Amino acid sequence: MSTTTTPVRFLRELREICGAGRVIDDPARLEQAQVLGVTPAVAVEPASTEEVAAVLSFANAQGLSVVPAGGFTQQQTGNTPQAIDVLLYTTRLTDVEHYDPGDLTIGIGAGWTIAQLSSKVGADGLLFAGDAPLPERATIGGLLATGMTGPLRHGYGGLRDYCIGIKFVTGDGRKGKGGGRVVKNVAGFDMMKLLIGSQGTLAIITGASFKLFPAPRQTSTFVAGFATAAEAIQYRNTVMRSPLSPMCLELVSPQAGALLPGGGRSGKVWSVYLRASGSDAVLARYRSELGTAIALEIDGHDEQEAWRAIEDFSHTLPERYPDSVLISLSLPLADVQPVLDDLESVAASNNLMSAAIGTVGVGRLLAGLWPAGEPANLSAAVSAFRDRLPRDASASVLHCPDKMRSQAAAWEKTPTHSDSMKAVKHALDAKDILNRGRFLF
Amino acid sequence: MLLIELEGLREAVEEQAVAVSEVCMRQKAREVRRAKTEDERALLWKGRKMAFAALGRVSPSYYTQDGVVPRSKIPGVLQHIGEVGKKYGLIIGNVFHAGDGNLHPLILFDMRNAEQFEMVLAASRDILQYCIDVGGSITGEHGVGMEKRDMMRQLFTDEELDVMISLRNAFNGEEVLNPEKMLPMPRMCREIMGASQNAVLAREGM
Repeated sequence: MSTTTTPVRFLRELREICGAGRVIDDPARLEQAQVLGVTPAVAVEPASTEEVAAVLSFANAQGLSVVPAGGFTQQQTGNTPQAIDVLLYTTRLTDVEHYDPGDLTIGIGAGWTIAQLSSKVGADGLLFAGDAPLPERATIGGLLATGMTGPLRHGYGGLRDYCIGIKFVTGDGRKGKGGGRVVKNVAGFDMMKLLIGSQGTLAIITGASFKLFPAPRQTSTFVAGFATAAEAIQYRNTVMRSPLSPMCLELVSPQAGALLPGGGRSGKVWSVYLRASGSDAVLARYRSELGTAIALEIDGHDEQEAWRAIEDFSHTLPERYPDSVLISLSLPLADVQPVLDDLESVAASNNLMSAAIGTVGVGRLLAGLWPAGEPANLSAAVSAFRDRLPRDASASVLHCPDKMRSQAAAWEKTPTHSDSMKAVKHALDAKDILNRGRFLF
Repeated sequence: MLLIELEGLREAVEEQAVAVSEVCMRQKAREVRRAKTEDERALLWKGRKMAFAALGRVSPSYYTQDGVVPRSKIPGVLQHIGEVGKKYGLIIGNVFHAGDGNLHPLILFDMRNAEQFEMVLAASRDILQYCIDVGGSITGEHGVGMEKRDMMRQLFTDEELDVMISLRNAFNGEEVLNPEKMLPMPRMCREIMGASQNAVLAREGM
């Protein structure tokens, strides 16, 4: 697709900011850094918040469009960029601002990958609860910007619950900060909640502080199988009303299960995966409370592999079925089952296959639809599914075939407060240089 | 005294209770008492909830702060609060959320004594300054109004405050809502200040 050439004349200025070797204008490398088919005119690798601020101040003054990038695990979402004058890698932002295991907090640069962070704190018996897909590639900056969550959301809350500080640079080049390094802090505006999920449209996140948790000493995963979604959701309700407090509680539909290792551990049925931590006595209590519904109990390597596959599902489905649409949903708990029923009926009446997986104890669901073989009107089916969503649902398209991308924005739920959102965008990025045209406006 | 409550499956709570006891004794606790009944548990928490009111018997007035320190800095901050008390000749009690590092030093004084009141304010600033110096915050729960507004400059740079002001102005540019609270007057970017801050500058002939 289009390649912009505008900023090539700014190479000298960008090299002065980032260093000559950190400004990439080699066409072959830029080709590899495409975002939704658009090749950046130039890419930069700043090493500090100051360098990010200098790049953005310069881009803002020149009106250049800037797309932030980390591990390229979530760049497939959103509309096609109008142009990428500057692709800004955050991968060199790898400082450690503070870390004392006794505080159960850490402050790090946005370029750390989730796997690096988990490994660092894991060595001290601590857990970082962000378990987004592809942790070896996904960066902390990208995790926050996309607001991705994984199965640990059930037991540990979402990013908004354990991100306690954030550093960023606004579209107009100002260095901003929210929160700090302590677990309770209400000084100033809560910039963490503003920037989590803001998709790189308001600011480029350069670092963050997190609350950490004691890592479980042992875990076990219980898998229950059901003939219908209704029975599986009933089981979810039973677990949630019990005294049990599992780390993870995940629903896997039959088609989603077929994509997990071994083709799904409980056959062609709806599965509930429940992960528990604790001593032998605690796990024995789980066994007795969960009862005969448990078809399988896994631990060790098999358990790790199963959860990794669940975490990576949002990438596995599009890889297996490139023509699929994958929608991320957030629903009131009581609406999960009706939405699952709607997904199945929309798929059946449009000659499509469907799959669903999700942290159903907190109302999170990933819903996939793809052609069963013969030509199918996927676009109409997705619109029909979206129209049936309950009023309080939030939905966004994580993946869709390129030919449908221009329609994907229409599938998003229309924001009810778009004027307020525009005012916030204007306050931080008045010239609209960040991820121009990719999200909402 | 540390008041520790455990919650969860009976099996987990039993194990944690033993671990908590062991850690406390290893850290030289004089004794570890465990509530044996629900009534006893409720009484312990009633004691905690009445602690602030009980200080009314010791002194006619008290002034409470809300600073926060990283969890590992609690011993240091308690020692510092003791020194602040000595320095200003004030009695300071501490009843607070130790697991979060969120302090509530209770500075006892007599409101009728204007000189003592100034000492209380100075002691309070001294404690909050310590919190900032060890990487903490000036408020964990109750927010920033007018009293702590100017200490925001020690937590945030002018540029960081400027970003917050531009966000505030997106919704409340005329400062109709809570004027002059939370955000200090910036020393820069006058054009994006709110109405009341411009008014203050005008009053001061700036």
